[in-house]
Amino acid sequence: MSWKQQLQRHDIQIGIGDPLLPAFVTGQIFGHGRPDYYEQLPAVNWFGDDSYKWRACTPAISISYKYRLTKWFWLGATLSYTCFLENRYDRVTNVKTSSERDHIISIMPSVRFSWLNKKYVTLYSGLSLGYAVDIIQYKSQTEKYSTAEHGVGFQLTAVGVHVGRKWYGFTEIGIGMQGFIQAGFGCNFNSKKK
Amino acid sequence: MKKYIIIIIAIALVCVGCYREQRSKLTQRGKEIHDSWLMYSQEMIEKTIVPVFQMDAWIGGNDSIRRIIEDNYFPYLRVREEATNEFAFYDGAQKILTVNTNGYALADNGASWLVSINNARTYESDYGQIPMFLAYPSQWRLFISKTGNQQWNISLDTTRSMGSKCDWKLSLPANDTIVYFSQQEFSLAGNGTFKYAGDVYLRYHIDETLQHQGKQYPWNRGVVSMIARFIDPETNEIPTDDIHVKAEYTGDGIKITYRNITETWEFEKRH
Repeated sequence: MSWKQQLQRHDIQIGIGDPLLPAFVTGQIFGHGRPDYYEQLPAVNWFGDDSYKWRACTPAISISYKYRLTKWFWLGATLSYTCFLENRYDRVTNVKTSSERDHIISIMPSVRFSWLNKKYVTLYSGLSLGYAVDIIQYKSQTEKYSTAEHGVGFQLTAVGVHVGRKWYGFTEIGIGMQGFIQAGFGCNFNSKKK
Repeated sequence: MKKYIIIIIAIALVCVGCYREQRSKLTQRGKEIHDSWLMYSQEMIEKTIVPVFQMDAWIGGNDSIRRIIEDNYFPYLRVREEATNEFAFYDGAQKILTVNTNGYALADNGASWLVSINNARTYESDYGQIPMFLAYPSQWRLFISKTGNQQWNISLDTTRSMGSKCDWKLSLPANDTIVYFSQQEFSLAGNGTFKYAGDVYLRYHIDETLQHQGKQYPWNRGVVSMIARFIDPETNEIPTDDIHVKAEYTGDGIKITYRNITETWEFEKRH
């Protein structure tokens, strides 16, 4: 029996991972590099917002589709999304003074190499490389703007494992927009033949 | 399948981050402004005025007294006579302060000294050394003149201080030896302005005379009002409201009034 009869060819999966890399790339952690000259002058900062911060982030949420071209080689695409939120509140009045939303969206063509293909277990590695955009929405009492920064999105999957048959769960370890560790579930299926 | 969904929900919860910064005290910004004022005024007293008084004692002493003063008060500095009525402090080869006396000791009526600060105080940044003040301390010159019994007027040479001003009245209790200046009682009144890099002006007025007692740090009693103003260097306009801060020293702490809120901050205990 050939692999075409044994193994499903279409694969859709939904996963969530840590948002560390998007956080690093967009400066949510470890800052935005060198600060502005005036930001370094402590006295000028007295005239900025006298506020404190509330920050939150979503996990890296991704959805992907892949098509098995050969027994071990898959081709597809991945869409991933992460959001960072930051609200500032006046220290004295506790009134919200500003809010910022960073939506990081990546659309990446993907390849996967499944190097162990058993009935219930698949082990694989993969690479996604494509476009990423960081849409920044800022609103304060005096200004409101939306801007976008464009760049390269990627995900390098060192090892991934699927467990299940039609419906399966998966875990991946790698680096990229989808996280260092990612987990989720997916569905394998074949297209109906007439 | 149920298991996977539970695991995914658990991971999602782990990956959702939430962080709330501590709100801390409401007058924190006012305290920062006060601390900055305190640092620079202390800097002027400890690094400029006190050494000048010690130099005065050194000039008036014989060799053995000079050695005692050097060993006790500035073991790492040396005084050199540069010219008639001109003395300088040296830290190694670097000149720290130059003092032009007018031939009088500071305790004498008619004393009027000119103090030039020779080394610029800077801090390290990504852009290299940035001066604390836009007016480089090296461009500062202080006048110290005796105005009464144990009383001196201290003012900045406004032609060189580029926006910073100072009009202080310093008083020492009667019969105190001024060489112990930093460890004894003294009081300070007056007003002034510190100009910071970035065109920020901190104008201050000592509403109630500041009292220094022994090693009590920084001030034991007194009230000082401060107004911070930012002037945009490009447009020369004032784009933000002035910030008003009032500081009242209570002996073991300080009451800071900022945005109509008064809070007490306790001093760290000194050992």
